Amino acid sequence: MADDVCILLIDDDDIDAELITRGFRKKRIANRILRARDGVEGLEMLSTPGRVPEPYLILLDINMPRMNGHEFLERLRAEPRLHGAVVFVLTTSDADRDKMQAYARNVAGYIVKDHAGTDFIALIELLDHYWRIVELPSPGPG
Amino acid sequence: MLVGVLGLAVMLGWLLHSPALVQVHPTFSPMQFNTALAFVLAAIAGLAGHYRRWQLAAALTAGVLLLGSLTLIEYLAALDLGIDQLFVTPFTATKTSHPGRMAPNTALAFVLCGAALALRTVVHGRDGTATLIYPLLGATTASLGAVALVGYGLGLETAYGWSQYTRMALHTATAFVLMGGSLVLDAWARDREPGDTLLPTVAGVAVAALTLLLWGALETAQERTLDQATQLQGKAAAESLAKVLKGDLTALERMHRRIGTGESLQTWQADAAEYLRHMPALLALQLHSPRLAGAASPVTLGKPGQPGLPAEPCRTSAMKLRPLASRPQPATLYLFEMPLAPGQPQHSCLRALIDLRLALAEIGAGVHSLLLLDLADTGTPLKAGQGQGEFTVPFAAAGLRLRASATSTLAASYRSPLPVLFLVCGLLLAGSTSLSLAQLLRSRRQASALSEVAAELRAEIARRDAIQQHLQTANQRLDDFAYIASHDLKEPLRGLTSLAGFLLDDYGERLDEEGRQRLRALQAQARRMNGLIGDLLSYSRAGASSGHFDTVDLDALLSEVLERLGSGLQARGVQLQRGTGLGSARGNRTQLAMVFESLIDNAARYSDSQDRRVTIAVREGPPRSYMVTDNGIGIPEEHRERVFRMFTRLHHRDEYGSGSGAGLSIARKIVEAHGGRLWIESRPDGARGSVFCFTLGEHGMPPAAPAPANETYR
Repeated sequence: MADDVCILLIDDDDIDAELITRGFRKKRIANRILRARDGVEGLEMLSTPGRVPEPYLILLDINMPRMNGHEFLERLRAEPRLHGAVVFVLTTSDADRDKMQAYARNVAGYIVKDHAGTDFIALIELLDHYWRIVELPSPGPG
Repeated sequence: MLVGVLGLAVMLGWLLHSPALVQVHPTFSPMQFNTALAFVLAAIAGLAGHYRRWQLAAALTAGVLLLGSLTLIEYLAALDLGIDQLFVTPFTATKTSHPGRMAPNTALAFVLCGAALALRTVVHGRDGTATLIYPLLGATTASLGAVALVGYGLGLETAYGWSQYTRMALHTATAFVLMGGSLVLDAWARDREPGDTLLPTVAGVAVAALTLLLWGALETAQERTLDQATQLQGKAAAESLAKVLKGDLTALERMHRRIGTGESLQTWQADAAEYLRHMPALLALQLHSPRLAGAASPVTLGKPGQPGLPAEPCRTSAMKLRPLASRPQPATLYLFEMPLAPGQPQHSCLRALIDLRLALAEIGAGVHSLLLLDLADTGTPLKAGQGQGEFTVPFAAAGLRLRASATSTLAASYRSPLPVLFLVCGLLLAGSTSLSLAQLLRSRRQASALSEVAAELRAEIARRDAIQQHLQTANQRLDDFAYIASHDLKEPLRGLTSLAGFLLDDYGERLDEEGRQRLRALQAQARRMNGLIGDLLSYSRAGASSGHFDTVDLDALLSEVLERLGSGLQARGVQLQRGTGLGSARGNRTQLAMVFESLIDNAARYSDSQDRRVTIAVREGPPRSYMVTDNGIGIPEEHRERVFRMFTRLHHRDEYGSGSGAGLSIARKIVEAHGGRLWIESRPDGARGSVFCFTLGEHGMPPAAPAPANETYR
């Protein structure tokens, strides 16, 4: 069940993306990781049926070109099919403003990259525990 | 001055009995001694005021007021208080109603100028309505004098003489003009805004002068009508007197004729008694006729108490009407001599004694209620405007001069209270015009001054708003810049660290130990830079973040901070002494916690001794200050400001547990954003170490709410 969970990483930073991929590999976690480079691409992927298999959770950066994390969240929560999605914010910003804005749109957690442990190890461990313990919504019929 | 000299001269004149000094011209009314005295008092009072001898001025002014007002009271209440001839007995009473008493207008003018002097004494130098009133009173005094002067110039007696009372003397009028004028000038001289008294005074004086002139004209017109009425009534009275006298004379001529036709003595006596009974003016009848009376001649019949008739026979051969005596003038007793018919002895005649006053009394009570009739005394001239008239009545050879004066009844029917009412209203109008004008001017000046101040204030506020706006924008931009720059710097730095990690992971095997060491050093450097950027970010956010202000319980806050720092402090072996009673303060809880944290951390860090002590205490103000005292290495006086500079360290990075040097800068920025100060003192006991002190909201008011951060974060 836990292995089914797919991760959609929305981040324009290639190195951070690679760091996460490596981290999962190091921890031998085999979950599928999909990547979008900004909010626009992320929404496209989510609205294409079957492109992101359910259940999934989203790791969302805030500072991105074209559509930033806040705008993405706003669109996501307005979309009836997507508004329940589980989103973790993963960003360099630890500004109160960003945190408040994110939690106001019901994110599951707000993680500052600097505090996610060396090579994101802490983050990856958190996610590993998270989907083992927390129940995610099952894929809807069809 | 001049007024005083004039007054002295006139007083001297009274004492020396010099009419030239007192009266100027024999037909003019004199300046009374009291008037002169009052002038001297007023003049000295004015001078005393000028030389700031206020008490002397007040005493003399009281004298002037007393003289003026007592005289006015005498006029108004028809009293004699005995002040008129208190000092000298007058030797002249030309145009004077009460000997020695000053004219009513003079008295009024003295009351006015005395009040002006008193006000001037009271205000001396202060501001207020009184400074407006006293030049006005002075101006009114001057206008009273001026009107009298104009009266002398134009020959208009009502202008300087009121009713039948004493006239204001020529030099009195001049003195009033001088006196009032100098009071006005004095007021102008001390007025800071000349226009403020000039215009109201001129307006007030103009209205007052106009009122006085119009009032004079009204009075004159009224007197003229009274004169006309007297003329009319007097003429009628003269006619009826002529009729009475003519009737009497005709009756007497008839008696004379009857004697001529041979009347007996008895018949004549009866006839004569009848005559005396019916003719009130006829005092006595005398018959010189030896033919009729024989030895008894002359026979006299008369009313009791009549003056004696001459006993000598008549010497005239024709009928003659003549005064009984040449004195006193005017003659009231007339003798009518009628020689008896030819054929009679030359000296026989009929004599009748007629009293003209009784004839006057005869002409009816209706006339007497309106007119006082008397025979003219050629010595006293007629007074115009007093309801007097003279009429000629044909009688005897020269005729009679009949003088008629209006009684108070007649005068009252032509005298209305209108002119006096007009005078009072006019003077009140003058006063109120000038006062309200003055108030208007003053309030306009104040209003314009106020609006200028208001405009300046508005401009100042606008200017400050603009500066504040500008400052806020600048601060906001700076914060935005620091925030954005930090993030933009952090991203590649993170990349650098990560890439170094990838290299170690993927190629570590192929590198030798030194290569791997270098890569790790690279990572450490990048991490340090990351830390510095983080501090920069904290510093830019300190005090300016979106955090809101609350009332913070500082004791509770300190407990939290100490709990958080607890393990670190224990590790360093710090002995903590904590004072209580920090109370509460308005501020941002998170940021205040940062201040305590960095001060305590700083105090614990910089020490080389094993016995580390940190004391947290409060020192009551004002302003109340919070102190963190350590027994550490201390900070030399000259470096005390440097430690608050961003990233400034006084030691190498590795010494004293590598701090970044940002904590104190951030703490100071936060404290200043709370309206307080943060500084370093030496320990009061002279021991090694430092005391970090800070205050919050030192200016006694809550610091301005932080400006809402703008929403342009990327």
